[in-house]
Amino acid sequence: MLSRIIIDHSVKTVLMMATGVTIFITLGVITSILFESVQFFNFVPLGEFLFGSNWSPHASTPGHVVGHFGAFSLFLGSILITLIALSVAGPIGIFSAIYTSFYATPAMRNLIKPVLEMLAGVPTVVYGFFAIVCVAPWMRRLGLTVGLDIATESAIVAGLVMGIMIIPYISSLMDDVLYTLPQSIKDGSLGLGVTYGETIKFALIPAAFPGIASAFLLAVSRAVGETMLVVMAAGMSANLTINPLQPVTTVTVQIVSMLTGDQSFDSPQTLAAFALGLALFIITFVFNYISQRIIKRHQSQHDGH
Amino acid sequence: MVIYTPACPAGTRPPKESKPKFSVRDLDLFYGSKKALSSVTLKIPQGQVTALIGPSGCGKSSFLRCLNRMNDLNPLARIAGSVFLDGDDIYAQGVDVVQLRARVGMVFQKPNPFPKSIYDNVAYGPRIHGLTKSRHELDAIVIDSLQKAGLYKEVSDSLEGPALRLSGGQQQRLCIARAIAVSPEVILMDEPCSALDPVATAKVEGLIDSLRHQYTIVIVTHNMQQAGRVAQKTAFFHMGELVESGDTGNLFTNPKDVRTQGYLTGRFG
Amino acid sequence: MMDIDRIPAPLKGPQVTRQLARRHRADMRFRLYGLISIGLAFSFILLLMGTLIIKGWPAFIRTEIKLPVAFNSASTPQDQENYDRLLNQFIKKPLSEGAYDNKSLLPLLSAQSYQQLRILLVDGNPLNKDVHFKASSEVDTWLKTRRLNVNKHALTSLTPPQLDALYALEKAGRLCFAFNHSFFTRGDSQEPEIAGIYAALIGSLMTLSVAIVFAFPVGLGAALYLSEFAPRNKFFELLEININNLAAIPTIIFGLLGLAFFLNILKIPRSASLAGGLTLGLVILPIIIISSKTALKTVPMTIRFGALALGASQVQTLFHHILPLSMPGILTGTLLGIVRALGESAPLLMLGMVAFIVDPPKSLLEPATVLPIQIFVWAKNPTAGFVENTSAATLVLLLFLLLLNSIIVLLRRRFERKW
Repeated sequence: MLSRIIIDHSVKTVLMMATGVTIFITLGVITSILFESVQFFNFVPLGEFLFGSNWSPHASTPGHVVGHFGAFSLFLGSILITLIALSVAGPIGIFSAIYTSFYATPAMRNLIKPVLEMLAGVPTVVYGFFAIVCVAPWMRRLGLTVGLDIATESAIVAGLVMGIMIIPYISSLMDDVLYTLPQSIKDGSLGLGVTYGETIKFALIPAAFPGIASAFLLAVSRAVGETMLVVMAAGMSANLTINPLQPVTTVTVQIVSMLTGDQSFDSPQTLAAFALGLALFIITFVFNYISQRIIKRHQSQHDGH
Repeated sequence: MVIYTPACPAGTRPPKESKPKFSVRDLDLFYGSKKALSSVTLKIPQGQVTALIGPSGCGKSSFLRCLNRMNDLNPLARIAGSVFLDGDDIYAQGVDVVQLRARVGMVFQKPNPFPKSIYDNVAYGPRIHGLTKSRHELDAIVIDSLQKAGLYKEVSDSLEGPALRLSGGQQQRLCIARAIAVSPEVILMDEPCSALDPVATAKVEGLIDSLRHQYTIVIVTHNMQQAGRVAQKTAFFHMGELVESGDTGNLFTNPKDVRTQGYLTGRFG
Repeated sequence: MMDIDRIPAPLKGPQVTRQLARRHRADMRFRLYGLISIGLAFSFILLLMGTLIIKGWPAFIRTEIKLPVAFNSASTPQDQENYDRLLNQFIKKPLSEGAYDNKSLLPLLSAQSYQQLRILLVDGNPLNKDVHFKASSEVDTWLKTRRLNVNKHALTSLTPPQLDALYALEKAGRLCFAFNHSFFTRGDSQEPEIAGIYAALIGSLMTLSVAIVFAFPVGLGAALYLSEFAPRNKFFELLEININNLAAIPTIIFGLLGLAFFLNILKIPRSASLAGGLTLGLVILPIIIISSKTALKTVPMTIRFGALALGASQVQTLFHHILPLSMPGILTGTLLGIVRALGESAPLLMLGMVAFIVDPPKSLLEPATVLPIQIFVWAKNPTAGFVENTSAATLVLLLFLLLLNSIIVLLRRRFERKW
């Protein structure tokens, strides 16, 4: 009997330690990024970092800051690519989800859903390569035929390919929400002599709106944090532009570019990378958090009735 | 098979017309290989309340769903026979189910308001059908429908409030208002009070009675007393067959079939 | 307030028929948009896969030149120069007289051909037979262009005498294709025809092993504690939200953590698979926790009550009933984590795992690279021939992912249980 208590107790302790490791990691992520960022903001004011348009960090050496750390063009680049990606993935994802959840027969649904989810399973480095070897040359040729000069590394190429990549994030999450809508809403609307399409548009989609919003938020957070694809397809130079045909750089690209190569750990570039990481963390955290809250509230509302 | 013949039991008004609203002939319904209705023949009079009663699983709800072709939504459902609405076969080629369902409205077992405001719930049908030209007209329809459903007084201050916050009985009356707003000719009700408490049930029953002069109403109920309270005509279903139908009073006091007798006296059900 | 009689009877008359027809057309269009979207998504997949396969498959085959090796000398040559002279003799033999000099013929063979010849002649025995030698990447590209109709726009750097020689060799039936097994047995190289993915595969294997050994026990333990023992209070609620967020934050942030903690504080050498594996472990930890918790949650409370009512302790209930019942779900979640880790590369970039790795690492502390990073490095290499290698490496990566995903699907089918 005593040994059983000892076993029980030690098992619980071990499991608790595992939980402790995850807590430690959570705290570790936050403190390591915060700690380095605080050092960074000791020599670069927050205002310049957020709104300054001059990004040329590579001139600095440890303890000697001569570069400029205005990250506005990086944020703008991230936003630009995300918007392009959403304008591709939004319509395709939404209409695919509508089709799979309302029109497709069960057999079609079982075929379409896994194939769409394959898009999410492809590693992002593969999308990057796809952008380089296929989309960029095509876009360039397409641009030349209509008289536009599209750079090989451009926001439009990165955005398009990222759009393809995040289609399943939107379609799959939205399908989950739409598919589980109560049949009673559908019946209620159809019983009024409303067509199936109108029922979807005016009764079912509005009822699923929170789920759709949260799917979009997750897709945005995914797009903003995407790294390999933009490193390969978007470019390294900080251009203050909203022209999608130009190369732009993003927060993630600059984090990578400042940390590859042998930087000493306390160089201003490394610290700047951590500051960018902090910004990225906050942005994606906010999006994820809102998305989770919306879903949770939506669920409780549906359980309630 | 007993077919209803017009008669005027004491205490009920005589029907305005003797021409039936629905005339159902030899209707069979299958779900896959399972036969849910066999050879149902029934006339449903205009301007009256017809109750469909019977033990659960007897096919009364399936029958109701044949009247506005809601069974079409079930890919396994298949029917044979014919259903005439004002003399036109609703299962004939080229019949628009959308148009049909606008003429034959439906209220469901569980109140199912859309997760929108009260106003938008009622305005939903008229908006989609393009019944109104101005916001003013739409307001008028919404208020009128709510008044007819006896709900207006309770919600007049909160028309923009969420419909899901209403009580169950209020929600069901809202669903009735929503159906009325498209001005249908028939309202089908599938056990509309089964999810409601007695007070709310009484209100909905009163509402049904007040609506019957304007609309033909067909109500499915598992509650014989309710059929007795609201319906002028009653049809008794058992095991997918229409056993007996006729004036409610007659059927309750003088059932011709032993199965009807058994059900009414509580020997099964 | 409108009088009821003035409400139009809605759906009758020719005007209504027209209106209905319009609404039905709108419905058809709406449905069509759905089909078009799915068609677009499918064509993206086809385009992606098609590009990879068309560009990648030539990398799996290589050009070989069949040379008549005739060696009688008693003493085996000692240095590369002598081997090269021998090779030159052999390659000249099938050709009719022409203005071929040593400098023009030898580059047709791969730079490592003399090593192959040395191994053949090492015992000093006379030899007289046809031997397949690997062709250089120029010849490889040239023959693939000719025979397989790929790389139509590639410019060849072969000289006219070299081309003459190749035509003659082809006529003599001495040029042939063979399976390029060295793609799977060699590490990276500057020469596309000798570069392979072996080192990257071993690196991926080591990195993944570290990730699983770290993340699986910790993740499972945390999931067990959180779903079976943790008290319901604000702290654990907050932790749960945090774990969900960890699963969704960009992986590059885990790279920052890995850099700050594993490299800077723990002083693990840069580029080591240990640091990479631990970092990937951090990436997949939330995935494992969340899916394990979900699997544990699907075991109904009645099973717990049943066991507890028989006098089993909480821990016994857990190990005898709940864990075995939820194991398929937990394994599926772990496999999902592995799939994720196998394709992940962004956080590894920051740990310096972009090094040029020829030999596979022998320990967890030696510099290593992984398959996705190898793809990244090759994709940026402008040398012709690396596009094929990149595509082929990508195909290999996708094949592994497909394999893992099929196991997941099978596992789900096999153990699907309805409570």
